[in-house]
Amino acid sequence: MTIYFKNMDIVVPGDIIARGDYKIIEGAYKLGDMIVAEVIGIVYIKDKNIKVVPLEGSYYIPKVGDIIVGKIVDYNPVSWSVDIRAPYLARLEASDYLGRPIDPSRENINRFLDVGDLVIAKVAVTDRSTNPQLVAYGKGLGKITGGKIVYVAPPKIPRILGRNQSMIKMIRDITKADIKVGNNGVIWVKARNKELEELVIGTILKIERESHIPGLTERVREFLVNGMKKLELGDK
Amino acid sequence: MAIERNGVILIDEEGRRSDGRKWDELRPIHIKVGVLRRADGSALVEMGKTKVLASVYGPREIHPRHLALPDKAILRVAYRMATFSVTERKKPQPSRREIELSKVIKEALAPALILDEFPRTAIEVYALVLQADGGTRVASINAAALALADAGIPMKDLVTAIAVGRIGNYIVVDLNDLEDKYGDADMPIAMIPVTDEITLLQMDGTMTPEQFDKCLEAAKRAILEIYDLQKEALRYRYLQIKKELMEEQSK
Amino acid sequence: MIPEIKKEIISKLEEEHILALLKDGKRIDGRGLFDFRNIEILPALLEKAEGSALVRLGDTKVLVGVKVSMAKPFPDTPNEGVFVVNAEFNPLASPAFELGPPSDYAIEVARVVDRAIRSAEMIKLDELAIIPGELVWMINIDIYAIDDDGNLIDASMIGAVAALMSGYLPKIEIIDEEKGKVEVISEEKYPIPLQNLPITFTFAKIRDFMVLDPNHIEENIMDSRLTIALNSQNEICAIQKGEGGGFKFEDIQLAKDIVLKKADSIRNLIVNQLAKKPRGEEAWDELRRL
Repeated sequence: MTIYFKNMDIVVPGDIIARGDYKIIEGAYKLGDMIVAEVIGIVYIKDKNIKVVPLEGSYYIPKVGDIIVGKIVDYNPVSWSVDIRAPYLARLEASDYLGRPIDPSRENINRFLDVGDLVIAKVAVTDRSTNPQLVAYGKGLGKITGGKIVYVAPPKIPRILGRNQSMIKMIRDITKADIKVGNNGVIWVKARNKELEELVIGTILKIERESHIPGLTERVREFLVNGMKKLELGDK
Repeated sequence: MAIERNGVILIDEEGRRSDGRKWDELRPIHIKVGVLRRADGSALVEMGKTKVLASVYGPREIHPRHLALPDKAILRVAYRMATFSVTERKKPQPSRREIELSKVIKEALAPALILDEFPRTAIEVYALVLQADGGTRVASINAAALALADAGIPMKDLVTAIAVGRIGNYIVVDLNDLEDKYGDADMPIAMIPVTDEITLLQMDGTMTPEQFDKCLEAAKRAILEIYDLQKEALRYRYLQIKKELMEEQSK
Repeated sequence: MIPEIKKEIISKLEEEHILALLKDGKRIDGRGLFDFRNIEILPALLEKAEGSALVRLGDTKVLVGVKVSMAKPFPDTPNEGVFVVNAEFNPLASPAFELGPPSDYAIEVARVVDRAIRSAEMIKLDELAIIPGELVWMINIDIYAIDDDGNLIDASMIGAVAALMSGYLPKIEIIDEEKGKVEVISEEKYPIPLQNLPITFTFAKIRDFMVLDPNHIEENIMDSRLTIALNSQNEICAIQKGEGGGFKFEDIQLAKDIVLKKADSIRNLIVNQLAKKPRGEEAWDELRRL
């Protein structure tokens, strides 16, 4: 068994990460006895497990249970088409947003959600043959009003959340901002004022840019604390 | 003995080529990944004076829909030459040559892609030759492979390509336009280095079986050299961000 | 069927944000309402084109090539050369652009650039006759969109004039006037005869607000578009109103005033960049550093 890369090195497609009896978690494939990277990413090697976390990709592949921020792009009498940055448009049934059945002969659904509106929703159904189906009824789900939206590459979301959501929790704790992170790389931010919203967005973009460099949490904490100090000085 | 064709000295007395290179010497190669803002992935590849820009979109919805496959993504490739990339202005409409090359480039790239993760979608590559000086299809393959990786499309490996050929008794690597036009044989080759597969192979002109073997061998050496440059270019951006951050922190 | 460009749906939240900023005289990319983005020109970077320029207008990039050839003149202008402007907006530049025949937008942009050059009489067409009535120079100006972050019109215009200004004609000798036979005699070349420098300014109207040089997000929510071209004498030499909405009288007056204020500085910028920027392979060195 041989390992050719260090933990957290950057690999690119075709890089032979190791030879021998390793288990692939994601982002790599087996070729004979070789473990080969299939995307640009950071390689994590722990015991006999190898994982490549991708750094690139502007597409999102939906998974059941994911929280996403979607944009209404079309509707028919009983459902909306939602752009979730996936290769497929998602469908949101009126009843899965309103929490009750709808009578299309009496109600127009664009009264509730119109083209251009944003919703926080959960992926309820997705498989290889049908377009994903969303649910936007329930706690923390539904139409977005106010605040700001920031887009990041979907593969960067796990870094923005952090282990056990530690990174996002730190941002919330320091800034007291309301933040909803969509697994599809769309993040909604609402804070006390515009300057604070800008700080949160700046922090998120910093994580996206530097996600491959160790020591991220400490750098982000420092960035936030300094940013807060500047804002407080500005307030006075 | 020098080799002259159509008034051009292709190989001089010392065995040097029209641009001064040795038989197996590559032209200067410059690669830059992620050069376009709006495309999902992009790369600029320069092999000497041949310059190609490639962009990638996807996986995204297919239009028209009936082209979709239930179990995997389809790859679509368009290879085009800018009207001003050649000496005589090329008409903007795609020629038969451009359509054929789009097809063989697609078939050179497809075996490296892991397409079954995205059923019913399309991955679309567009390669534009900005300036042509021989080897535009192989430069397009090199650029397209990088643009695909930059778009985060899962791949078994990059695809790397080179043209080799024959001028008289000389085998030459990375043919320029003159050598392509007046040489005796031209053979573009693409490989998936990690699996050792050849995914593009075309030839025109003539070669003896011995010359063919020598060409293949020379092509493989050149491909491995370019492959290293491709990988370096993919890593470059990340190392650059790291470097900038280190400098910032040391202040 | 001529393809049309489909607009991207911008979320209402983002639109409200843009409008709130516009109310304060600000824009999402930090500019004032009537600021151009950074303009950068790399001229004469292509070897097989007689003239060329890569233009960066913020993140928008276009590459323009000029090819010259010899052709028969039009019967009604037997002593004048010919020029043709063509634009290729292909999928390199934007997810909204598709393969296939040119979209109505690409054709519109090419025609606006053509009109500005023609009305300003930028090219001295009467100096492009080789054998009057028989043979003239034909100049093809081909515009390729490379990256569309909005305002391809002004980027294309700057690219076209820069490519012409960096361009040349080969020196030729007339061998047989009767048979219209000519020959390129040496490597010697001379500049394309030019006498004016037209530029365009494109505005977007977004609800009640006018902005100059819209980026692609602003273009997706704009109601209407106005392009004004000025020649070197600061006369208006072409106008194009685009998109489904309209303009008020005072909008157009405002646009005209702004254009007159900015024209000289933009023209100077073009001339200066053409004078000082590296050419040929050295231009690529610079391009690789960007």
